[in-house]
Amino acid sequence: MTRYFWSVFFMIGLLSATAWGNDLKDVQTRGVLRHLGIPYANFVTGSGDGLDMEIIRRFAKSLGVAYQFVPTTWTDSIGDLTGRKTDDKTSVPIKGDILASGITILDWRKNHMRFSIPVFPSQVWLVARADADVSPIVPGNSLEQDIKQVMGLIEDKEVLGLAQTCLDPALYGLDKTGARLRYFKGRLNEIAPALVNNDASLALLDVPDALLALEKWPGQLKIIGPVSGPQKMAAAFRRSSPELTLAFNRFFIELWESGVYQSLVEIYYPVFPGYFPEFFSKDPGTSSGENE
Amino acid sequence: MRATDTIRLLEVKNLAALIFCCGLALFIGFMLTGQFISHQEIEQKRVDDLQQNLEKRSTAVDYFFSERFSDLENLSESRELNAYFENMALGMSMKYGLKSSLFLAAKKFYSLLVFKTVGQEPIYKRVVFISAQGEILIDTTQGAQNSLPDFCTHLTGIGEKSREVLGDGLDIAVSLPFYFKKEYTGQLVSFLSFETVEQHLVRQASETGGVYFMTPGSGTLRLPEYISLDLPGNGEIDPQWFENGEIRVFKGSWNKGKTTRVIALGAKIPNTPFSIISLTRTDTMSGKAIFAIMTAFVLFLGVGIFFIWRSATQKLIIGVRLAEIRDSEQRLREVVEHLPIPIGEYGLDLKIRYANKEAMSFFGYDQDDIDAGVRVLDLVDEDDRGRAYKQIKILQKEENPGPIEISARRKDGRRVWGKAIPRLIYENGVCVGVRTCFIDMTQRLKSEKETILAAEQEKFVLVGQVAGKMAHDFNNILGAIMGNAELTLLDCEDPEIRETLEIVLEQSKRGKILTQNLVAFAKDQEIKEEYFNINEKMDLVVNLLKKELKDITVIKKYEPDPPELLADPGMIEHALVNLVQNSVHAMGKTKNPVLGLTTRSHNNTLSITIQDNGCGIPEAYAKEVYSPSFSLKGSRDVVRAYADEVKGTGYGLSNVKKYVDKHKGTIEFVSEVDKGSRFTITLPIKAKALFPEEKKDMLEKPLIQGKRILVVEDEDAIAMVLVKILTSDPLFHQVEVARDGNSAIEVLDKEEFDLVSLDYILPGKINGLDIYNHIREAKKELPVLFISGNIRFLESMEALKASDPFMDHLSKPFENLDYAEKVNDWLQHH
Repeated sequence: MTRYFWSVFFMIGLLSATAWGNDLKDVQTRGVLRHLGIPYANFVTGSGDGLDMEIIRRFAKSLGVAYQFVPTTWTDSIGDLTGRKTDDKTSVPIKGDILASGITILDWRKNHMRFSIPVFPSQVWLVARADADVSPIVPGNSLEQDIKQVMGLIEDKEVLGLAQTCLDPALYGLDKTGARLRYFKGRLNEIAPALVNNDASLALLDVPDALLALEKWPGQLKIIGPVSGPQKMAAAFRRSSPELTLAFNRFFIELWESGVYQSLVEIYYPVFPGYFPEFFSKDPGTSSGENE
Repeated sequence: MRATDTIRLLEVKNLAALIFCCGLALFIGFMLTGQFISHQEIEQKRVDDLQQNLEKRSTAVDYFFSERFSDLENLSESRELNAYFENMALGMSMKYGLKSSLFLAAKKFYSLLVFKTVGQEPIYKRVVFISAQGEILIDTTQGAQNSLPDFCTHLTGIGEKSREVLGDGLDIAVSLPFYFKKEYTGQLVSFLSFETVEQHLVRQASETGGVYFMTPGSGTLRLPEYISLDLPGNGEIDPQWFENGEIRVFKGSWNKGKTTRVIALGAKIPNTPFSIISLTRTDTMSGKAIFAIMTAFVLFLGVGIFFIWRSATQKLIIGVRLAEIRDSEQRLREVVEHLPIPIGEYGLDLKIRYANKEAMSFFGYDQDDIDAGVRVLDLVDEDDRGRAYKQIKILQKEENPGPIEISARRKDGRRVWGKAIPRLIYENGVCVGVRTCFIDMTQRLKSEKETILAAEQEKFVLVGQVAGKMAHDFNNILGAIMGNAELTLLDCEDPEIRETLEIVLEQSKRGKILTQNLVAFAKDQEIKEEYFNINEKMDLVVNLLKKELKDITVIKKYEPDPPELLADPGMIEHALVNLVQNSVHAMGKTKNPVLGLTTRSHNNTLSITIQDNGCGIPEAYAKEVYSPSFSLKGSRDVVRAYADEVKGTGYGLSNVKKYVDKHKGTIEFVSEVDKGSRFTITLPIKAKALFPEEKKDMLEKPLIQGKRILVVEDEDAIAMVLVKILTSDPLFHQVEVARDGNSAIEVLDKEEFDLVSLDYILPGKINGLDIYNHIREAKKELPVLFISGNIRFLESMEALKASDPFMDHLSKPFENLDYAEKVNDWLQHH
């Protein structure tokens, strides 16, 4: 069954690749794979390592080209990849070939970029300071009930979010709960410290960042409950890069099957296999991004 | 060192070794006795040691478990475990966040399993957290939840538990209560392998020789199968037996071996339910160990003594052998040094490296000369060096080179003949030089030469005797012919007859001269030596031939005051007359004839030169001029170089040569046809005493002085020289002289002498041989030195010498040094 699925998957990819240009050949001709990344959680730590850096570095090696990390920001990242800004559609220089930094697959992002098969699970939780007057929910029978419980707790509460990211409260309908939404001016990985520093009582955090925050500041933060359903993270490419995307998907499957991927997760997110067993127990790509 | 000394030394050493061994045996006996006496004390001491050891191990185990409690305390204080309970207190659910904290806490538990080791073996098998409700919340062993060993199932009960160590024979559990915010929250329990603890902390190798066991929990100890003990009850050791420090002794064995007493000790491990039991066989406690040590010690000592003794003996033997070699070397060196044969060594560079005393004395060199680098070729006569060099180079390539005959030359220039017998010197198989001894053959060659000459002369004597007889008769005939011819001439007036008679008279005169020369040649005249002045002798000859020299310019170049020549004046005169006459004849057709007469002394020799500017001698006849009956005058004068009236007899120059040879001189000539000839006679000068350098030579040898010597010599001149030599510095002998045989026998009968110098030919009826026979009648060992100028006696002298070791012979004329040395040698060795 799995083999059948992958045959169809690669046939589609191959046809797409034939229809679009020579993006993979361009990378090979240039001899360098440019990795656009934003320091965030343990995907790109800012210290020269991170789960996504490890994966892309191996990908470059599999292509036989050099690896080059190109730092960017959440605001500029899509423009740096595609050559066109998302807000005013103005053209900007293309700085990278692949964007991978714990990028959650979101519908609006799909309009600008091509996503690989999912490489990591995620979810968005509501996190509070330990002394906040909001208590964690008691999980119900379903995720929907849990989200509903959370939404019911934040009426008239100030909730911190970050526009144009997966932590945008509007994406999850928080603007309809009566909560007071506040958009953080800083970077994505500064939201948890903002909570600890009492800049806010409630904030949205994705699971990788939330679990790291719990580990870093035990007893100072508490998880209230989920605000979103399960999410996936993936590597993003220009829409005009079907061959490169296809090559990455093929590489990632090999990485998964060789067990190297699991070892990398054990290093950077050891808790996650226990938290998202359904993601790690299935074959890679069974809940894909671009191809869904 | 002599062999007896060596044996004595060896005996002393062996006695010393025996005494030492006895001492050693006593020492060993003393040690064994001491060991026997102190055995009990030693056993008690070892038991004390065992107890101490037991307590040490017990303390070590106690400390080990206190460290395990410490591990659990660190775990209970860890951020990860407390974070879990913090988050739980905040109301977080497992689904949203709490599971992560529990995972991190469990990870911390795992770290204990990984990082804590004893002897490279993990200490912990399992670490669990049991909640206050008895639920196992964290367990490092997957799938083992709620399943604990029987001995600690009570930990899963609700309520607070104590801090304790539990165990059975398989596992040990260390349990520590956990409090979160001072409220009992659960129990931290770590599990260890009983065997690991016992192996690493209890059963370590013991210097006391005992075996140690840890009892499981509070139960009894079941012994391993290899130990068999006669134990009461169920056959297991109860730790309670040792509660008050008691010691139990059982009979038992190891591996079904010899039954022996076994001492059992026990000690409780504090803060645990365990005890340590020690079992020790008494037969290993002291006796065997000490015996083994003693045996090893004795063996070591014995072997050491053996090797020391052997080494000392070998050193002694080597020392003796070295001494023998040194003695032998010294002996050989002395033999070589004092051997009266010149022996020396030279390297491949031909430089002399060594020469014995005789060699240095013989060749006249000293050690300084050798150190300065005298070469072996310096000892070889210049004329013979080329051949000698080739011979030396050839012999270095041969394994056993044969003797080389060489003409050598001493430092003072005297020539000697001899035979060098070489032996190659090898170092590491490579030829590095030549060792050679020199056999002086000068005297022998001289004797051989004299023998040949004697044989030749014998022949001539025979001829001479015949010729003399014939000449006598022939002279009578010639006398008659000449007398009658002269008488006839007086009366004869016929010119033709007169001419014929004159020819007869002339030829008769020639015949007379011929017979005179023939007699002179054939006659074996003994030299009658006396001192005379050669210049005067030359003038005498010129005067004799004054008539023949009247038209010839005579130029004399005499050496003023030449040394007196000891020679036969008649022979010398005859020789000079012959030579001058020859010159006169050669200048018969020379327009301005000049005769040069020269005398000159040099290096103990006197040269007489007679030179003319006559017709010369053709080179073709140069080798024949001294042959008897050879003459260039007369029939061989095909170019008419001589005047017609000049006729040679052919015996002139041969007589001259014979006279010169008799005086041990030389004659040589240079001549060129139509330009003239120059004849030079060189004769040795015999001084009336030793020359200074000869005295020096004598002083270098062991000298015998002040002896009584009889000189029997009829010739005054010679007697005077001999007396002078013997009585002067450095010999200082006392000398009696006898002029004839009668006087000699008279003196010999009256006085005692140490040596007799005896002339062979003496005036009167008693000759030298008669005196010798007279001496030998009474004195068999009185050295007799025969002196003889007549080589006819040489053979009889040699025969006599072979039969009488106290007789020797010296031929006239001899050098003074030869005479002095000969006398000294005889006095020294006899």
